[in-house]
Amino acid sequence: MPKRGNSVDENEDAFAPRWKNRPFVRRDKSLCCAISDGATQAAFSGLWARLLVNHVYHSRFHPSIGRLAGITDLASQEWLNNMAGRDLPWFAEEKVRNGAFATLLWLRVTVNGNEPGGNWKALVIGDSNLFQVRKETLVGAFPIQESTGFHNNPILLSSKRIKNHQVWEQVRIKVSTWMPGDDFFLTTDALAAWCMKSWEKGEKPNIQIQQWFTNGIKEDGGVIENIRLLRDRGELKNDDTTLIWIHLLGKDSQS
Amino acid sequence: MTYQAEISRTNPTCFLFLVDQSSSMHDPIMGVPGNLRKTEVVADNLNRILQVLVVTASKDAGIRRYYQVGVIGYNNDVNPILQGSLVDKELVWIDDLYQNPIRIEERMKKESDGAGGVIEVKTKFPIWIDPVASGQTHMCEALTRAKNILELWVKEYPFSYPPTVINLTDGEANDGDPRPAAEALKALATQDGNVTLLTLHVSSNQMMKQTFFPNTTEGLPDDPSRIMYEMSSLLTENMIRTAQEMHNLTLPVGSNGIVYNAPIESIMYALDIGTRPANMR
Repeated sequence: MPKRGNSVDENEDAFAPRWKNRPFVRRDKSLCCAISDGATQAAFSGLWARLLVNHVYHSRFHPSIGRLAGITDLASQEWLNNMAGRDLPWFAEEKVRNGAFATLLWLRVTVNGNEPGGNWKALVIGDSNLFQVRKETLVGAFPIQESTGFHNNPILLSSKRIKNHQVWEQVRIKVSTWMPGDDFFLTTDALAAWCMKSWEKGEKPNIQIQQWFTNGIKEDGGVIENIRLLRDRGELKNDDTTLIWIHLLGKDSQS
Repeated sequence: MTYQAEISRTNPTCFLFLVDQSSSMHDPIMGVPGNLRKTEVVADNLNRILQVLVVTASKDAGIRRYYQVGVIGYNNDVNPILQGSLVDKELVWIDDLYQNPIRIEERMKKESDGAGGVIEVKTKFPIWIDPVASGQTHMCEALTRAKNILELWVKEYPFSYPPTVINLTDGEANDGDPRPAAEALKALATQDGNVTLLTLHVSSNQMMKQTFFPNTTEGLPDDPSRIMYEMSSLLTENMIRTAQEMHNLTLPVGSNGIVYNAPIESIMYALDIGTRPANMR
């Protein structure tokens, strides 16, 4: 959902897969998804975010720094080719020379033989966040675990390779397990900060989010309406907002 | 809390520059023969900051109407000094500014290569303001003109981040005590706060001490500097943060918006600090 005041085309968040076009669960019962938040002040960051998540989704790899470097190179070349094909005004030339920037949250979930649950591995650059909930209780937040951890200067992945030299040190990776019934929420920073604050107050934002989805996306009481209300009340920062909610039923289910 | 409003197309902000074009601006900066003239330094830095405002309002290949901008020159007369199809316009939208420079020059610019080094790149440098220096310093009239312009603006945009006025001058007003006019200007406000008035005094004397956003009148060398101190607003939190983040300058809370006896570099920093839009994301 774009920030208030911007059009859908101006949304600089990206996610994959966009489930209408791509399978969410693969033949091996694994699941791969990604979200990315493009930096507003940089040029063509929305494009950069989309290239990153699409390359991650199609990579078929497990998250790792080495794989990320390869994916970044591919996405970067595609971004540069896109820029080379444009006749840019002078104000855009400098921004393009500086490159585009974005966060990235890459999640892969796998089954574990005949076990009821499985493993997951996440790789993050920046302040997009992953929450794991079990039986309505938050069991983990990654990489940011306190609401004060969200600020305006996260580490970002650049479309210019030379600017990523120090980024690799800041990549965060986590490996853990999941059980049937677990929920995962992948969100960009505005909604992540709201979720974290809610949990810190003893509330259950996961229940609220689930209710929004139950009501629908565009319907009354649904996702969009509730995001708008939170923004109007000042509880949610006015920023592009992306959320992937994954409910894991177990390896033998259809989902 | 003030100065928190998000700058957006629905709630744009405004930057108004008052430019001393009196005859003393023809003298070399810091009073050193062979230096650039003060009017050249001011014009060059103003063109640079207008370019920065265009760039920060840009998104991909377009420009968003995040700001209105005005440039008022003052000597014996007080008038808007943008040229071409922007002539006589007190305020223009940032995209209209982009569309209408007087000319575009090519200059070499140093940029970071991202690996700790610096490279020189040929860039386009649009020119909107040319140096002018003749006549007296009708600063009071300029401040009153600014007040009249912004009185209408704050009514039209009551929820916006309040306007920022930057007065670039090398001396005292010739048309009276500027403090009442400055107070009337600073009294204007949106719901997010009062108009901010910064004073950048361009150096005429290299022997005189430079003062950069002080929080006390102690150390100010003379009465004109103390008058300018009283005229100016306190720096906002955004400005203090910009000073730290962009220029590694630590300014205490309570810093006043005056730079006195400023050399070229300080003018650049001060313009940057005064115009960096902190509330866009």
